[in-house]
Amino acid sequence: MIAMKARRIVGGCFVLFATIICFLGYVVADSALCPVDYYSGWSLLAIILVLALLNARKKLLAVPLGSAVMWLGVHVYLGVVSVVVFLFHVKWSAPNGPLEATLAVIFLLVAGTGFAGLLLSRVLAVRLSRRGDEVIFERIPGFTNGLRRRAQRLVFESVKTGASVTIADFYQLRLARYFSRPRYVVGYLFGLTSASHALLSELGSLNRYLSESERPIRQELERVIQQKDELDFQYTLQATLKYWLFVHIPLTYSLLLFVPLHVLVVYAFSGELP
Amino acid sequence: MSDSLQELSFDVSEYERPSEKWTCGWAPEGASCGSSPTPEGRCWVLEASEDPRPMYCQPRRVGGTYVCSLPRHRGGPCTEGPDALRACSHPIPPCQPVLTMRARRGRVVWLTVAATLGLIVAVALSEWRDEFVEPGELTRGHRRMDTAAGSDNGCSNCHVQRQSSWSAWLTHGLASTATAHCSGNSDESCSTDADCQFICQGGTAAARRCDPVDLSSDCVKGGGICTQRLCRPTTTSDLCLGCHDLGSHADVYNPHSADRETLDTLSSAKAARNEEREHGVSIVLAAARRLNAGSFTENRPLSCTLCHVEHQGRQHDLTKMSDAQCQVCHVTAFSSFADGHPCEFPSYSFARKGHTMFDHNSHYDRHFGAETHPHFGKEPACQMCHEQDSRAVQMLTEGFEGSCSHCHSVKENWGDAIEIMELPSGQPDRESVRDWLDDIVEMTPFLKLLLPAVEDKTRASDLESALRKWADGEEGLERALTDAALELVNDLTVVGQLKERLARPLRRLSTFDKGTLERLAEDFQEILANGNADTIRYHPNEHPDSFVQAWLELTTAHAESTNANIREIFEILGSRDSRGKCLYCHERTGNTIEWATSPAPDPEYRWTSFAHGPHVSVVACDDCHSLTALEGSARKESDEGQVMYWNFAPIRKDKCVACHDRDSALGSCLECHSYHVPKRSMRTRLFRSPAVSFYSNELEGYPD
Repeated sequence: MIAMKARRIVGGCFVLFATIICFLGYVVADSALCPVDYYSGWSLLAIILVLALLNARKKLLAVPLGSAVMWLGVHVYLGVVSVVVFLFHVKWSAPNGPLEATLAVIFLLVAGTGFAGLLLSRVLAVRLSRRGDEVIFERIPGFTNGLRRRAQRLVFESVKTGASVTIADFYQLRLARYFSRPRYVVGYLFGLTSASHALLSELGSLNRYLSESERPIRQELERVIQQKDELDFQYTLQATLKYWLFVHIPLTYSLLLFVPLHVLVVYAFSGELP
Repeated sequence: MSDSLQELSFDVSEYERPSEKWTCGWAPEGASCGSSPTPEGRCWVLEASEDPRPMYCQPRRVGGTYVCSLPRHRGGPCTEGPDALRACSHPIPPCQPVLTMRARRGRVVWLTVAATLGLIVAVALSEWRDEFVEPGELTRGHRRMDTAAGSDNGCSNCHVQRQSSWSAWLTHGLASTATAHCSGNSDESCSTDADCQFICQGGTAAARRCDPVDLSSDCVKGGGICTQRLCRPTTTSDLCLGCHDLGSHADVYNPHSADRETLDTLSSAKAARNEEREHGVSIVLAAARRLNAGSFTENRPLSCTLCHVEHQGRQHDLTKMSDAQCQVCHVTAFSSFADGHPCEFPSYSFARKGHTMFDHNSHYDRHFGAETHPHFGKEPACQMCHEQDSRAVQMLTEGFEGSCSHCHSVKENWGDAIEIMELPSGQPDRESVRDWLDDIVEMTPFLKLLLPAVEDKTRASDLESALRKWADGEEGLERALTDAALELVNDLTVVGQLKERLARPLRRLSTFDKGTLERLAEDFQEILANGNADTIRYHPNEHPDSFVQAWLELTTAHAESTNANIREIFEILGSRDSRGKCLYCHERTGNTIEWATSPAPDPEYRWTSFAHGPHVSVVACDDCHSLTALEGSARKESDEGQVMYWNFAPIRKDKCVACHDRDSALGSCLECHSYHVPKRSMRTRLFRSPAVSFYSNELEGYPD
């Protein structure tokens, strides 16, 4: 925890220092009639390339290039600096041309999804760890199907032992859909800890209609629902932590394709290059 | 979790491979076979060539029997156990492998890359390629020029890059240096011969298609002329200067477009004053000055685009500059106009004084009061005599009729009539002319100037000696003089002859203005026609008086000449108390008389601009122009003994600072200074080149 705190302090100081340097550099160079657009543009491109190297670092596991934590820290704080440089590059105003506007929108989307990912990793990871044991994400569909099969077995058992279809009807009416896929995703994403209270309450109210032999089955079914509830929570949060990269990374490649076009046009139509 | 769903021990937990591309198709069902599909995404069970088919376990022998060896994470040993052939009784069912999340993300990446490349290619091949790469709207003036252009959307009007293709852009982005000469012009070197072109001079389509033999070319049709072959402009600034004529090409890339010698002189003079180089400047400005030091030298000239950045929207101010940008090059820098601005305007006065001898002190106090002259009212105001020009920049003098004539009436103040000459009465013939010569007492210098021919015919040194000889009875003179006089009388009735007669003595001296001579001849003719038959006198009765003015203009330059008649005429008309009294108010400077009332001397470079319009609405005139006592006034005496006073105290900067303070937008450098200060000779040409005039005309009524 102390190490994380220290990293954040160092990172925050780095961002603050870089922002001040950018601001002073921009103002001084602009006052000195230097071509600040070129300076800020090339600086931004260099930063973007360094940021994109995180993906390469992940693929080069065998090469000793520093820890992933260090790389992620650099990625996060340098990403903040890139936004500062970007704002100086566009002179704190919206670009007018279609190419520049496209480039700016893509950059802001990449930066926005990056910040969103950072925020999610800070918030959701804490919520996951507070909840207790984590389930490996890739196993969640298997566990979900296992719970569904277990619930179905309990339903068959209730019909067999109790000679009643009360639990079976309830399963058909309410639980079949519940076990078919992850439920209450939006609720879990926005802080809901357990969304199955209503379902459990309804199941509990069935108790008066059940025979003695069916009641243990109902209690077992309650446990299965609670486990499914837990899996849905895990799935929602873990999926969110993974799916934001489906926007962030593709857009990064799109950005890297538009940047050379921008550079080409700028140099082709520049009068006097610095 | 209330009940743990997973166990992570090595022997109870399935091995996950999230970094691989494919995973078992049974994994979502919780029944993964534990092995990865092939890299191509096929189930390994189907790929296996072994017989029998792959099973979940390899039964192991325990004692004398074979038992199931299914691991714990698959449920442990099965109840069925191995079959009779000691093989596992549970064959692995083949699956349809599914992509892992990482692989799915990779596919999204490739789809995005493909879509991006597709978009770029589509744009590259489309008609609106140029619009796509256009970085933003142009300002109003340039936008009109842009839309008036042809198929290339006008890009080539301002960009050296003239072909609208990606390959051309790429080539230009990696442009090489010039290597080839333009044929027929060894001074011009381009990268290829194709870069040489005929340059259009004049007309309305400058810098457009130019072909000297093609009468349908834009240049020829626009009234221009295709001149010698030159390289196409190699910089954007060259193209800017195609329309914005800022003067000599040698100077235009210097700071302020001023010549290097002037800049060096000013800088040296400033440096020699030993003033504080940086007075209260910010750290940013101090750093910028060190960063910029020596940047803009002859070897690295300034470009237009350094300051004028286009494509920033139609409302963008192309001429905007910060105070720091202004001060970054200057020898001295200061924090604001109020604090450290080097000029206190101490010399503002005489240097800009007009050419009229006017004593503000005496007029303001003595003559402009209501008691003295009711025309001006109780409180004399400057607007009685001064008014703004049409651009609200200068305060002009209303002129003689508007301000002076109320007191200085022409008829009352300008003395007696000027005696021009006497002429023979009646129809001139030899007899009357001879009588006229006999009776004449004294010839006026005007008449003597018009009778020069007689000197030749009488072999006398001048006319007066000829007349004297004739009076003494010398033979032969009568006829010559009579002929000359008769000829003069006849010439006076014909404008052309009179002009020639006036020009003859002047021509001997030096050059003179033919227009003035023609005006004088016409006026003279009119005076003769309206005058008495025998005596011609002229009484100046208007202001300006063209007859007197023309005489003065013609004789001023020769006032010290050997021609006594010209000298005498100038003395009659040009003395301070002469009839007409022109030089009572108008200054004679060398050989010219300054007729204009208040033309400030135009400096070679006009570094500062001031508009009276915005100021007179917020401050009174005497807030800035305060009168001083005559004894304290600046004084100047002309060659003619004319004394000129400047009755105003120097303007103090604190008057200006009251409004032009540090926190106000009015305190910026550009509020009073213009960056471009073309030479005096260039000012009428600035922004008046054919192309700019063309577009300026087109701009009339064009909406913002």
